[in-house]
Formats: sequence, structure tokens, C-alpha cells
Amino acid sequence: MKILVVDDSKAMRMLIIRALEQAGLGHHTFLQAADGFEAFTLVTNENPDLVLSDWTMSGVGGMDLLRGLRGAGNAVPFGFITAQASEVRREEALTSGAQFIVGKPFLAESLADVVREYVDG
Amino acid sequence: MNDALLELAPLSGDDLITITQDVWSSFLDLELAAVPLEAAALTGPVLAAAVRISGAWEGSVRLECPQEHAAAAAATMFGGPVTGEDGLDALGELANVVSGNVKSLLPAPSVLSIPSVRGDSPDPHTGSSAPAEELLCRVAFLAAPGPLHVSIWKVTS
Repeated sequence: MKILVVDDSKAMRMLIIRALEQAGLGHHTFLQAADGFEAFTLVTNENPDLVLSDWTMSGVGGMDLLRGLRGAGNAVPFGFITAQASEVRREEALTSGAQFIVGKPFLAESLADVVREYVDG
Repeated sequence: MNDALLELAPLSGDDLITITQDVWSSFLDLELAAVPLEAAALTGPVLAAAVRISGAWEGSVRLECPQEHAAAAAATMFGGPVTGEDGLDALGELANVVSGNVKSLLPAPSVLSIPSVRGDSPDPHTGSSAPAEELLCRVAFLAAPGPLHVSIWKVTS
């Protein structure tokens, strides 16, 4: 399975990937993108099984990425990992076609439990 | 005991301490000890990261620490050797996460800016377009890689 991690911070991308690997998901392939534009291209070319995206990024943000994918008819499972996981944002995310939203900071096991539903389920 | 200069209802200095400690513990597996400001002086080259909060509440959250602290954070996040740029990236992202959790306790709605980071100044918002701000709260920590200051500033104009 392919998991695309989208965040404008390379440090956060690496942290998310290492957290998932250490939680037993290291057998999956991890792709990385630094903004929504790069992610859209990767989704189109690599056809990942799950997208994990930050909400606010320099360049094209996570919500624009989600809306772009859904507008293009792409139904790839999509989850936000954001420091702003308020109820308002949760509702906006789910209404726009996301499957889940995880707040930062997160516990590695908690994040892995959510991700497993989409790649090991 | 810490030196919260002013209580910022509904956010307190204790809230800021707890949020910061949770972020460092969760992401870096690093325990931060809250200490008085004078026990955590910032000496040598200091890196700084700031995130602006705009909307129902206007201000910013700033993090400041020595290069060694940011480098240690980056090394943990990257899981290996890092560069100076990686330290700035890590500090900016940590500032983003702290700010997101601070924002959740402040009047809504509001939005966060992209983190701004500086490797040569304690004030990453320096510039003609930056609004005047007053310090509301500053807390200090000690950890193995060095001190850390976290402060909240409110726009005055």
C-alpha cells in the first residue's frame, strides 16, 4: 500500500513517517509532498491508497488539495493531520470529503490505529 | 514556578506550560522543566519562530531557543543527522503545533499564519509590516539540549 504524507515541514513529514513505521506500518510505501500542488500530481501519477495532509501550508493548502481531488472525481481516502483540529474544522473536513482529522500533537499509536483502518483493514 | 507576566483569560501561563510540555513530550520524547526566566537565560546564537493569530483575537506565539535545542529537536524528528535549515524547519513546525493548541483556547474564529523563522534574531516578526505587539505571557523551560522560551504577544493597534 502507498501512503502519501503532505506537509510543508520536512521535519513533520519525517516525524509522521517514523511514527507510523515504529507503530508497525513500515511495510507500506511512503510518498512525500511539500504542498497541495505537488501532492495532486503525486496522487494522479502514483495512485496512493491514503493521503495524510496538513491543513495550512505555504502554497496550495490541504483543503484546496482535498477539494481539487474530489472535484476531479478522485475518491482516495483522505485524512488531515493538523494543529487546528477544532470541531468547526472537523465538520468542514468531513463535509468536504475527508475521512478523518487527527490533531497535533498526536500519539504514534493513536495515529497508527486510524491509518490501519485504511491500509490494513 | 514560572514567570507568567499577565494572565490571559481564558488562557493562563499554566496552560501555555502544559501545551508546550505536551508537544515536546509527544513529538520529541523530551521532558521540559518549567523554570523561572532567570534560570533559563538565552545565550549565544538564538533561533526564533513565530506564528501570528488573526481574527477574533490578534497576536502571536513565539518560540526562542539556542541552535543546539533546535538541532536536537530536528534530529529527533528526522531520525538522523540534520543541518541548520532543518533546525529552523523543526522549530517552525513546533511553533505551529503550540500555536494551534493555544488558538483553541482563545476567542474564535481565528486563523494561524505560516510559521516565520529566523536564525539571527529573537524577533522573527521584525519588519515594517509587523503590527505593534505587547508581551502578555512568557514561560521558560530547561531541557537536556538547552533552554526554551515561549511567549504570547497581543496586537496593540
